[in-house]
Amino acid sequence: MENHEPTTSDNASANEPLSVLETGQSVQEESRQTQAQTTESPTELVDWLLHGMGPRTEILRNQLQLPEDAEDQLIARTLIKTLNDKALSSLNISFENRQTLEHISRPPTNITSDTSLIGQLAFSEKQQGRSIQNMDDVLILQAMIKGGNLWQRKAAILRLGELLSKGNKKLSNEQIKKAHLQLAQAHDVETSYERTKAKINLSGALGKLAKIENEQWLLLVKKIKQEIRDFWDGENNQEPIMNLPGDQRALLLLRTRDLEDWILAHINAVIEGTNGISTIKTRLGIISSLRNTSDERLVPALRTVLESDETELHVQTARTLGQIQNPQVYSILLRAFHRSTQGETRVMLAGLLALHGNFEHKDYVLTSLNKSESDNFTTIALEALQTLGSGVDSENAVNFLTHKNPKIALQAIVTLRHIGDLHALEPLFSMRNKTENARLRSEINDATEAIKARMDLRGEELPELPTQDTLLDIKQKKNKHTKNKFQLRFLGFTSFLWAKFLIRIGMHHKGIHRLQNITAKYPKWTTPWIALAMVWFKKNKFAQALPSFRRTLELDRTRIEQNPTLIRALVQCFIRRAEQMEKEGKVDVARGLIEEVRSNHLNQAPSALRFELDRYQESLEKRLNA
Amino acid sequence: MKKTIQQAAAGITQREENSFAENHTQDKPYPNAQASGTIEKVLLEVNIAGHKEWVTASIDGEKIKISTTAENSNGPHVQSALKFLAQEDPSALTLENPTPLNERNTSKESRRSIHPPSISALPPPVKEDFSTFQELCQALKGVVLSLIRTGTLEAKNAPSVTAAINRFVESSPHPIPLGIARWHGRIQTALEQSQHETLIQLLHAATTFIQALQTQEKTTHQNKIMTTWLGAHAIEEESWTIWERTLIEIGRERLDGMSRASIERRYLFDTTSGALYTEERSCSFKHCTPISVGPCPRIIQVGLAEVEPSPHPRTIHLLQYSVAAEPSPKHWNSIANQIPSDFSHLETLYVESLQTYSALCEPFVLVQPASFEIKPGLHLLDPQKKSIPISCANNPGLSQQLKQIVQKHAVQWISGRLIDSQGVLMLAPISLRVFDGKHARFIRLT
Repeated sequence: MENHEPTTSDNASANEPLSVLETGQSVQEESRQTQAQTTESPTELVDWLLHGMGPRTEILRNQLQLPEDAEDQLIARTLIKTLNDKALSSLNISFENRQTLEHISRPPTNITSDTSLIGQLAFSEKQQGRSIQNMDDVLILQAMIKGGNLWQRKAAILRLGELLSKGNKKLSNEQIKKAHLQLAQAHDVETSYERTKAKINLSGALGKLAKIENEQWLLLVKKIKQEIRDFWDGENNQEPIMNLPGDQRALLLLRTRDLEDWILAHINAVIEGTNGISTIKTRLGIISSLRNTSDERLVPALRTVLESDETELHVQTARTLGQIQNPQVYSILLRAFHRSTQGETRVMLAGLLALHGNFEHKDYVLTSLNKSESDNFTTIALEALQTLGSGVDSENAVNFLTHKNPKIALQAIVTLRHIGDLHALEPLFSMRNKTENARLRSEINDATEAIKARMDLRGEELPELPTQDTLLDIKQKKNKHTKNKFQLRFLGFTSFLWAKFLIRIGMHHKGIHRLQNITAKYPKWTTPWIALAMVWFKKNKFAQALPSFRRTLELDRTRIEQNPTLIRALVQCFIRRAEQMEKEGKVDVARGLIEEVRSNHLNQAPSALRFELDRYQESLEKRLNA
Repeated sequence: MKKTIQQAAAGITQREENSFAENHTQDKPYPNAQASGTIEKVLLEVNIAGHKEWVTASIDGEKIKISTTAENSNGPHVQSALKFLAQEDPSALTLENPTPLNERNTSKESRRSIHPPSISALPPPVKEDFSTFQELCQALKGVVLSLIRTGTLEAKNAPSVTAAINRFVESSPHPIPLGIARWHGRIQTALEQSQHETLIQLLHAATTFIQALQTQEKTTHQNKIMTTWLGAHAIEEESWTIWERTLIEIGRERLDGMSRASIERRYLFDTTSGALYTEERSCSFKHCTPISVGPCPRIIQVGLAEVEPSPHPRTIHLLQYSVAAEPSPKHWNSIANQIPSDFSHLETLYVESLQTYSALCEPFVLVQPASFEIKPGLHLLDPQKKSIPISCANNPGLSQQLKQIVQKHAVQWISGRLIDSQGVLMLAPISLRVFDGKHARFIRLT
């Protein structure tokens, strides 16, 4: 008679959703009532069990009709047997008494100070008759994509894609143009899957790019399916997914929701470590790669890991699990929060609970942030604050903007972006003018855009903002620098064309040699450097391609950063070279390469690659710290 | 000589079949028990001074190939096996060089195509040490007495109860058998959540176990109880083997044992007989006992497996098997075709299990609901409108998820553990198969 169902009081004090009887009485309450009614000598045998026989064994002995000299052990055994026999004989398993049961789940607490539209739409698909799925206002959807929380951004992107693909006549040409632009500009990794889905049905360049990406993904899936079959057939001793190059793995795993069930079952086996060869490192790798997939088929395996003793996997598992919209997730996170003894895991879980509507643990996170003694703990606490924090908490994050560790400074910017407080704008502008780090500047731009969007949605007015755009200045300076070299480039143009021709007809060696001559003769001309870098890259000679890419970045960073093809090649080149270095045991060098490429403005790079960069850097740092 | 071995092997097969028929009450009898055939392979378990190893003899033409799990491929285990096969004269056999089975495992073909018999797949033997069991018996008596003296309302915070449970854990055989671990997990939960009905059952299970421990000449029922608590290997209770079967894993879950979620249970469906099996392991303190590899769901082609005479579903140890990750519609249909459509048998199954094994029975079943009722609470209904409510108290979100699923999709079957609460038989769901309009899908819930 496992009393699983109606009387659970596990962690009741901690706001866990409970299932109770409609009659409203838990067994504990019933027992208390029984206790009140019970006289000094219980008349019912079950009362002896509830309150204990204590010293009054004589009465119980008489009730059980045992001899006077019966020992306590015999009395206990007889009492249990009698009660069990009685329970068995009266076991009334009826198929008709379903009317007596009701399951009431206490919902998560929505303690949010934001009562505006954006706050109201934060935790449910439908509130007060409004839902993002029904919105037709492109401007609001655009603002949601910039400044909404995770669920809102995902829903807004899908809705925008839906409006555009249907050829909705409600939208004016101007609105359609703006919507296209918004989809093209959105670049956060967390919504990568939704963006691909939204773009794939569009016409024009956006749709075409999405279709090309989709074809690549399909080819990859076809390949991996065969490899998984071979793995289970014993033809292959390597786990196929973890064996993929980083960028391909990221591309595959960002879209697990489109994978067949049996492939997901294989991924679950890797997560759980039941495929026979997974190590903690490979499991951690795959769990972190799945961070933004939001596939609810992963819930059972992630739950298993989170409830296991493998504490080194908990933070990453919680992060991946918390991003999944599934009814089970909230209660799993809450249980894990109450049971966990690790500070980092608890702080991470507190933040994720806020994503699911429970803000009760904000004080715990703020206290932990202030007491934090390690950089990693601080980063996690700031990450938790991005979902837990409101306007009043922005100062806590602002304090970390000038932190010497760029990782913490970056997380502080992201936290401020999600909190969306007006007062964070000034420190953010101030930092943008000071920093030389392109990635920080890019994140600050995104954060200011998000804050502005949130203010728009809240109906607030924007204050007078600083107009100095350092990025623009840098770009202009660079352009001026390179434009002066135009004449030199023109002189070498014929030679360059000849080199390209040689490469095109397959005479790579001669072509490369000629390009090298040109770059030696015209060292500040960007185009031959790019050509040289791309030739080496296409030949999978990443070590040779690196210097050319580096030189190009020195000469004209913007040209690379603004070109999707070049930036993709650049990032892939750095990742592959880092992987090679790691395989050779030069983990420090690998980490250096990843840090180097991450310091660029990578918004034009595919989401999968940016995601892989983050994941890979974390993995390398963990390996170095181990 | 081949004839001699075949005679010996035939004798073994006959003994196994008899044993199988005696013990196997729920599965169908072995289909070809009376059929004659050629003996191609004989597997022997050789016990030398408590150290057990497997020896396999394969007949290849005129030669006999010997494989063994023992470290020494020509050691006493192999010699004893040969002696048995050759009827006391091992030199009379023509042998190829014996091969340790562990070495064969490294080859490409054997990594997954067939897993060799491995003693590590079986629970480690607990020697029947009378003094150990005496201590265990006394400690368990202490738990029962302290609970009854304190009363279940106060037991959660009573130092005497905590001390008694700690002593019980300390005096348990190590590694702690899964039966004891599960009892410990359930009593901790029952105390924490004041589940008095469950406590009665758990205490009753403990008293019957104490009686069995104290009895020298054990009855069949007492042997069953001993097996449930300590495992068949621990008490050298006779298990039986099955081979050439196709099993499908249809669910797995983590249950509380010595610590939270420290017992992994996998549920396997035999497509031939319709029998259900469970594969269990302990996963705690960064040490997991070995178990078969593979995802859930999966198809397992069983070369050889050992089945324990445990409660429904019976515990299985996969010794030789291969895994495929992609169950076909044919496999799924074979499951669907063998599930009864009405619920009446569930009541009998549950009550019988409860009467025999008390609290340590947790029957796993598959049901094919004809319809659902969402309010009040989620209920499964059979064609006669008999209902079984769904229990999701340990994970309230599961109830919501299940409601969403049944509202969107057509449910083919649901699997789960049977439990009862306040006289109502309930199903704690584990997995289900649905039809979403285009495809049939298996959904793992836990």
